[in-house]
Amino acid sequence: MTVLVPSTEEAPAGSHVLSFYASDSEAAESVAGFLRGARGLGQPAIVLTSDAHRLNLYESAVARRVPQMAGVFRLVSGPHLHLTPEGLRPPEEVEAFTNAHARGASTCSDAIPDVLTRENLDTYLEYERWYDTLRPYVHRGMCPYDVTRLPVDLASWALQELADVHSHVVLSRDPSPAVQLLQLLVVATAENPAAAQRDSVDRALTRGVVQRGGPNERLELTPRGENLVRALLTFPS
Amino acid sequence: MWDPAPTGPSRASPTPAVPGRREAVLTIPLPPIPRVAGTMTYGALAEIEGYDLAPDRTITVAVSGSGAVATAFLESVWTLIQERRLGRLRSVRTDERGRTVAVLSVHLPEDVELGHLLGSIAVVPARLGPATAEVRVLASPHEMQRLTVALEEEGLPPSAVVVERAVQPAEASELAPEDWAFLGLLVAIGAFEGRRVSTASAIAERLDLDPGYLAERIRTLGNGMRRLVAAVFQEPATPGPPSSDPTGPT
Repeated sequence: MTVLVPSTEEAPAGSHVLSFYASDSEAAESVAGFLRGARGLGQPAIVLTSDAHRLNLYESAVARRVPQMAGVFRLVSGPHLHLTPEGLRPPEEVEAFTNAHARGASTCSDAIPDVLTRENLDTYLEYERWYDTLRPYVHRGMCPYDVTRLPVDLASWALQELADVHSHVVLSRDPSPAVQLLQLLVVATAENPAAAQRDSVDRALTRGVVQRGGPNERLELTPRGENLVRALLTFPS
Repeated sequence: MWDPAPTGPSRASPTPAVPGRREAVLTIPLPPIPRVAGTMTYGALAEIEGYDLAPDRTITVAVSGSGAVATAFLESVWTLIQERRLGRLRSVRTDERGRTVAVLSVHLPEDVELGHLLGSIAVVPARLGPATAEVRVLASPHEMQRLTVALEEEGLPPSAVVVERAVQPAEASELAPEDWAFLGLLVAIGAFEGRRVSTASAIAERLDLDPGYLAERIRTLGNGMRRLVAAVFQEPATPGPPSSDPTGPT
């Protein structure tokens, strides 16, 4: 089962961590925390980003929180992953970096949320599933996902599949009700939710926002829960 | 931006929490619907995604279905409605899941209680089949009795009633069945697609409803959503800032 960790900084060596965010500024704090953790573990790091605006935010956050890691960013356009006959595989630059640091490196690529659609969601999940088979390893890999960009009708399935194929998960701290409701689906599958989080799941069940369904009785949004999340995503306050 | 700030008395205020409400599922026989093709049988179900019952007794209903069979079924339903001058087909669209979504409006006669009653207690989505509707309601024993009588008066006596669970008064007061139904209607017309906020006036035009009524309805819904989320996370529901326009620019 996936382990909830409070921040990306606390993602341990050997982890494949799923990091949810709901804004570019939160993504930047998440990356800075991840790099602070790398610094603490003595791991070199590389972060690929496909977005110049996010790069600026990353650099500002890192300058503030862990200036020693300022030179780790690479601006690379496109989806970063490359297609092989076996499926999608990590960027060659990242593979070369981890190969060059056999005692452990921290790596991150942020492009998937930019290119994720309802049509290719399964392909990217398959990639994450494959990546997770690389564990146990000495590295740390972080996969940032924008929780607000997942198609709402597929969110129940996608969020839990994503959690299943990562060792650790860091929830978004965005106070938006839609984000918090969506993340209850992840909380329900995690190994170590807090009592307050479990209580929120129970109250959402009572109110018919979520239900247990499917062969594994996993938590899913009800139709009205989906409608509620749609409205809250559009009208966050 | 939509500001779900609390407001004064509303023409569309939610149903107050009725003590002793239980969740029940009714199977209601439907009048025969002509098959569009002689050999076609309807294995698929369509669903009522949402509705709104306006003070002038206009009920606006969104119905969805997937695939050719469901689409044919829906076509035969609205053909029947239009032929008998029961209502108007407002729009037909394909939603992001590829489903056909039709919005119909029907003007209820003053002496028919069924629509008013169902409008305040029916839970969406309700399932439609070729011969029956499966409708979930949150109803007190008195409301269930009135509903059964009203259905019988319309020649639609329920063939089965399954009572599932008691509903806590607090739970029912956060978002009433008609609020969920209105939310379902907004989703069905695509008001939240593409991250663009449709203005109350744009929605009103699309549904041919009074803009003032619709703006008030949206505010009521926003208040209920705020209470519900606060209850799930056990946070105090704080009122938003006052606003003269409940929605922002499209």
